[in-house]
Amino acid sequence: MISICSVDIDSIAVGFGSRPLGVKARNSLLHLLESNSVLEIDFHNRSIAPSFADECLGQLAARLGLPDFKRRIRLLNVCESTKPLVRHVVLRRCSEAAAEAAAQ
Amino acid sequence: MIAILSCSVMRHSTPKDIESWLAAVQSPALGGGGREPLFLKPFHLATLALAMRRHPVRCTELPPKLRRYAHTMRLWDTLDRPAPPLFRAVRRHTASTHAPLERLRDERRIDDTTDNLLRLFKPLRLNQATMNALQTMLFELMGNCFAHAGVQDGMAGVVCAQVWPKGRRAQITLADAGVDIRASLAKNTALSSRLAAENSCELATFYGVSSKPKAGHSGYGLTVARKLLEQIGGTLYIRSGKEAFFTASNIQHYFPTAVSFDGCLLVIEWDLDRPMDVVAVYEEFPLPEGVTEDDLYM
Repeated sequence: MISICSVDIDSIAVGFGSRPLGVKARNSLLHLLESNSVLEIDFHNRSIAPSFADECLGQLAARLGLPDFKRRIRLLNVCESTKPLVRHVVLRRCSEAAAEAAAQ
Repeated sequence: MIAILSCSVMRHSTPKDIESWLAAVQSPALGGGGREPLFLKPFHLATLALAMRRHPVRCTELPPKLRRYAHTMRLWDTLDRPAPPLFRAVRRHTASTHAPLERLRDERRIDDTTDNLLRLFKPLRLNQATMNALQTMLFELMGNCFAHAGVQDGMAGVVCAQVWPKGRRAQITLADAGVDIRASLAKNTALSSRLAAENSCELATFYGVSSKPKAGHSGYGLTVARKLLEQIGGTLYIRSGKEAFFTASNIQHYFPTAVSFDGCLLVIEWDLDRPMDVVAVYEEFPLPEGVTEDDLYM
């Protein structure tokens, strides 16, 4: 049985401009992933900073691995100007995590 | 006549303007009748605020025009000091052209501080892409202040801005009294050979250059700022320790300086009619080797 949880980005982040807020949002998502198979995160077309995206989504993807990230995290209403950034941070962090794992 | 000109027309800031001011602001002559700049801008006040934090006795000894500008930019509030009595009754109507000095105290308030600054640009009819780009640049540069400031007194740095609507120009200045860029990058041993050969202020603008890669930092701030300013032929002046990097109209200079600046000073100046596009900056970021683009969105 797959449980899907809808997450309003505003409920886990009071702002989108800094690394600490990204860390806090990522921790909230990790907590929700403990009891849900899939998270649908609604970004409401908000513009987010690279550091926030890196901490919240890049580091989350690195932790889950790209296949699991794509299976368990659905990103809704990401504004067009932010999509290339999200793609970049996710792929970069996953690549770094894979390289680190291979080196160990 | 000079006063009227100084309010309406803005001459581009040059490295010489900034360097001569940095020498003056650290000199005891500033408070004792030293020459004040003809055209005051945010960078004068941001650096003055940091200098006065270190040398409190200068409060009431500023030259007259500088004192008025300091009042407009709320220098005294920023330093948590009472304004000199002479100025308490004087309030110029500058809300639409000046974003007064704001102390960077709490990284969680970066969004609010950015909103305050962006309010200045809303009446100027910049397009949404430019507003997004400015927001992103400010988020990242303020984040850098907190990451490198080594805060001891609740003041990671200061930020302020001014627009000249008739001249269609703007300046934003951020300054902190934290760790020099060179000292900060030296913590990343992978950069040792490049640091030995290159100007640290320019090095910090390259993609992926960070002092704390293992702590999750990626060095986006100055990379995004440089790329956005170069998109539009704007000015970015980065000053730290005894080094400077300057890009203006897409011509870059880097040079050693005579005076040391403890911390980091960023002066950003541009033509308000030139639109910025942060998406183009993101699309220039390289993808890791062997990785193909995936559609991550529903």
